Amino acid sequence: MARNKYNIDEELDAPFNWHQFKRSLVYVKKYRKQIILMFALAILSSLLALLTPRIQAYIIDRLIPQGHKAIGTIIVLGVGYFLINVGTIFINRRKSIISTDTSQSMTTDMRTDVYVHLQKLGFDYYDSRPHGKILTRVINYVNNVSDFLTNGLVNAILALINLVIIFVFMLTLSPKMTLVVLAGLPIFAVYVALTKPMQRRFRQKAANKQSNVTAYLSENINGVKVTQAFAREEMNSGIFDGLLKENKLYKLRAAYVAHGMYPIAATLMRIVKCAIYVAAIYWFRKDFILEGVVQIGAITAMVSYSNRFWAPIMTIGNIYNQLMDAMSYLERIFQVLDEPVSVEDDAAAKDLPPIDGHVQFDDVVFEYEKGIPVIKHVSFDVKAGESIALVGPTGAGKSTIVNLISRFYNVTEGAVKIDGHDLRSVTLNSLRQQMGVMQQDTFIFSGTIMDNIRYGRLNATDEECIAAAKAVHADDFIRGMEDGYETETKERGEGLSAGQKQLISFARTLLSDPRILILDEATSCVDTNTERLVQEGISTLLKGRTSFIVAHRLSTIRNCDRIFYIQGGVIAEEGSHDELMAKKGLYYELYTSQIRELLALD
Amino acid sequence: MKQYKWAFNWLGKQKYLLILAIIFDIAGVGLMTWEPYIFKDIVDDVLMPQQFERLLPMLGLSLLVGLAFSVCRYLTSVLAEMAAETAVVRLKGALFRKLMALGTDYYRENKAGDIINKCSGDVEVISRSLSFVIPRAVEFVLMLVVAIVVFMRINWKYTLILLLVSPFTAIAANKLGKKIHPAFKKARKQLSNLNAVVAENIAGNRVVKAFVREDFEMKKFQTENQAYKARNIEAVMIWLRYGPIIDSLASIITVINLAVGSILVIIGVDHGGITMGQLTLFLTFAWTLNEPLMMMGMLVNDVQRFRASTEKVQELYYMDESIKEPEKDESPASVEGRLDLEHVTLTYGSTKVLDDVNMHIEPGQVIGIMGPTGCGKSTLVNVIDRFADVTEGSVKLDGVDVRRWSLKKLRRSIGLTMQDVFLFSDTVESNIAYGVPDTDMDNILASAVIADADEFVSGMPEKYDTIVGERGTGLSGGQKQRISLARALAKHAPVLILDDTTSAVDMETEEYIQQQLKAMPDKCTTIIIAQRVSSVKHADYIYILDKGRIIEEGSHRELMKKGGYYYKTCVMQHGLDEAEADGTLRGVMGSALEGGAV
Repeated sequence: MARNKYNIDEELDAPFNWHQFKRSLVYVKKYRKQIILMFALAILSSLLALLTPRIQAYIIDRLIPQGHKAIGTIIVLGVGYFLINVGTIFINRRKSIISTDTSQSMTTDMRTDVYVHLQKLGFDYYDSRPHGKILTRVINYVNNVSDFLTNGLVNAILALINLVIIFVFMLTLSPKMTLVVLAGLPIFAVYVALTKPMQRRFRQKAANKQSNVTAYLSENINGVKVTQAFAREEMNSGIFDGLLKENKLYKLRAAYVAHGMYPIAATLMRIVKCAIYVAAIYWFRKDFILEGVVQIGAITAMVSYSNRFWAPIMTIGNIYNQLMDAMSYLERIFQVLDEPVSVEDDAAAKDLPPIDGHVQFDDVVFEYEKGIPVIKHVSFDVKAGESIALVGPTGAGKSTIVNLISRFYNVTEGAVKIDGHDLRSVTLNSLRQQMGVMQQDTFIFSGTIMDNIRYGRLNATDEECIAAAKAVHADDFIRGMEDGYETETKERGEGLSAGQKQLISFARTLLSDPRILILDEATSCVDTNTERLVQEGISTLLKGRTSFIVAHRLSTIRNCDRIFYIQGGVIAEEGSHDELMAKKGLYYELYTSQIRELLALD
Repeated sequence: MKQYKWAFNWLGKQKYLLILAIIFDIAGVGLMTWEPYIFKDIVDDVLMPQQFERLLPMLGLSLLVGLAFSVCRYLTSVLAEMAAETAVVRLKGALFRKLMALGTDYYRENKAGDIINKCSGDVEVISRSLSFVIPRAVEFVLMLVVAIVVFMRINWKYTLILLLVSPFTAIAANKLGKKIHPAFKKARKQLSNLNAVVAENIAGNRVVKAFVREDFEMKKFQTENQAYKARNIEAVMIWLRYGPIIDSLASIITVINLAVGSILVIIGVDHGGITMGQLTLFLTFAWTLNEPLMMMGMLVNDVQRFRASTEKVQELYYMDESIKEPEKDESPASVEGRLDLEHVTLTYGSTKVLDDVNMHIEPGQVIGIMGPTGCGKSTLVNVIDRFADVTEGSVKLDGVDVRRWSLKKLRRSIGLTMQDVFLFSDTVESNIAYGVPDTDMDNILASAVIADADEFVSGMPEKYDTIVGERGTGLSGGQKQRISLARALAKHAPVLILDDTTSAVDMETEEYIQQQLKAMPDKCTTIIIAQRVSSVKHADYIYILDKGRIIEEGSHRELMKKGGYYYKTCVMQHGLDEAEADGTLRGVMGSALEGGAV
């Protein structure tokens, strides 16, 4: 499995294409009505804006020469002019309200989609990249994209409409001159074409580097205690500076190219303007010098049309920059959405009916990485209600075996069956709801201790939560805390000891009332006395439930019905404690060596 | 203003970049105002009198001016961006250093997502303020001043009429600022809530899946996601309440220009009015008055956003570090590893986590510490490595109070493995070399061998170059612990503290590790904290802690004889109940103990 770390850019496989862009329109489509309304308002406000120069021209050319008697009309027109302006302003306000609402809704939708997909992704996804990189995609990238999808798109299309209208106006005025105005376009197109790949590369690089910065930052926040304990603060700060500088480098490179767009367009616009004058005087004299009089009105009209023609092009140029940014973010977002779900419900999957807890492994092979089997042809049959201990050296595959029972991974070969149902034929929800898994890594959510226990069964009453805590002997220490069960837990359970965290997780698992219970080093950090009390406390609860217990302490193992000794991905020995002791094999060796050690005092 | 000064300081020597940007910006404004005059001259002096020979030079001049304007514009944007990015690098770097210095107490109170936000989103807002808002503000103020001067020179009374609007604009802008600041703060806070929920979901993905709580998590997320949307819309709505008022006020200027101006022309210069030419000038330059007034609202908006973010960043930047460096480093030149805990007491709130703990550990001694869950074992490590300072008493390393050691030197002298193993998403090699980045491969290999990590690492496809996931996910608990042990060993520190380092490791491996540790050439003071008797029984001396106090101490042999907590634990751990123990083991052991050997 390819893993990613903070200083490795996550390269994209698929190049930029319109397909991606079209795909993003899915989010736009939902707000079709709002977008159309925005268009209508935008067109209305541009039309109103076209009126005001005419009023101005009318007042200056027609009314002022009329003298005093026109003052009344001027005042009326002035008020009209003001009202039109205010009208435009409030139409734009309406438009902004709609666009804010739409872009915010789109952000929310897109973020939800990413989040929903993240919930489906398996352990492998989370295990193979820094969490900061995932977080950036959900939060920052999504924030960046939505504004473009609403305002950027509307403005771009408006600019295009303007472009067409002005083009028609120019044609009616002078087709020849229109050609002069258009002559600047190919140059602009060449600039855009030349810089496009550069733009894309720099922006992508910048986005990658940004994601590296966040990943490193987030990881260092989570691991700050290790950094301090190893006095690595300075070195890490240096690494962080390096990442920041790389990010800056590409951001600036992208900026050098992007900021060029406007000046280039503005310069071209001015060249065209000069060309119009030159053309009018030297090339198209017949059209622009009539009876020895230069048609200044016609020339200035052409110039103003040319300016208006180039304005939307500049807008499009600017939007193009935004588009490039939005695209590089969109690609990252789609990358998450396209991440294949390694474990998902089969199309024909049915709900697993309430189970007894009969677990079978049929010749199971499992590989995390192709060609390297971790579990090698393991078969076993565990009757409902049996308790199984898994022992053996670290890394032998104990955790992997129990993870396969909850189908956190799919088997590579063979099948895992519960009550005769192949796990791949049932829905994940119905399966996992009947399993209680306590993993090696305990995780405490921010909230209260009560919330954390209740996580096992959301509709459990306080009394039921407390009963679960009592069963695992967590009740004493919880009551000893300042706010008891309502004590606030911080992110990751900061402030609780490792053993306390395990006990809370244990209570949570018990509360979920599973048919099959999997305890993966559930009490490794708990002291032996408490552990024994826990075992007594839960023994009645465990009756009739199938349980798999991964542990190293003999006291935990001995009481199980059967013991699987796992070594090198296979079950090397199995049987009850007494059977295995009689066999004098690996387990016997393990057990007696410990007793012997206990006695070997020197 | 104070905050701007603060932000400005992060530019350091690159201040000149921003100043240059502003100069080019101003020059651009100047060139932009010059251009219309050139074309006015072309019409009046070239086209009307048909003196076409002057056309090309004049057009050439206009092109030059236009080009110069474009260059100015380009330089403004690029220089401002360069300046802002420099400040970003400095500021983020400084915040990172602060984060590295802050203690566990800070991280207990602040969520990771929130901290990340301060260091990224908020810094970006400050950067935008530097690269965009400041130049724009300067530009507009200048524009306003120039416009007022130009207008005043033509007709001061008329100008005063035009300016009647500005106080109202100022009032509206001020109101906007006051209202929008809290709205931005709320939106900002909601973003960190959203961040926190997502970050927690990502980190806890295993538990979420195991309990099939995707729907529940979805609800939690949606609450924050929707609230974030709502807060954002609220902030924009405040802007949309005042923005149009400001714009409408600005548009009054145009109307006055047109209507009052026209009437003044009709009245005529003789009766205190203005000429037609003056009106045209007014109309041409109207935008220089208009635009700054219209942009005022926008600027207020940005300034408030800047303030909200700066407050957040400053909060972190000026955060007090709970564990401080001593004024003078009094640590000895070479460290032997003698540890003395004298009457160590640590209180959190009203609970005594450590209560009058006394320990004297000679250099090279191996000490075991056991005790029930939550008895204060890990806290003991914290006061030695100064992740917490004692409330009473003192911890001395080589006779010097650890609070008088330079933090770096102290922590370099202690090799520590933590209960909650954290590995970085980096290669195994880099993880082991974490404390000694310049070390050679031999040391890494040797440390891995002692920690019994070499075998499984060598079995991985890319061996020591394999990248492990954040927090070491993807490795088994025992594997993580062994890499973490190798990481502590690679430091070759005089003091080694192993906090629950082998709890997830099987007994045989543990025994192997213990033998390797024993055989290590450089003897170091070792403190082993554990739940398993097998982990501590080889120790020279064992302490049993309960509720922050030492309740038993002695060697394995002494403690077994004593029949207290240690003895009971020992018996239980070997799967014997007490009756069984009394009957068999005690008997066996009793004779063994008396015999002195087995």
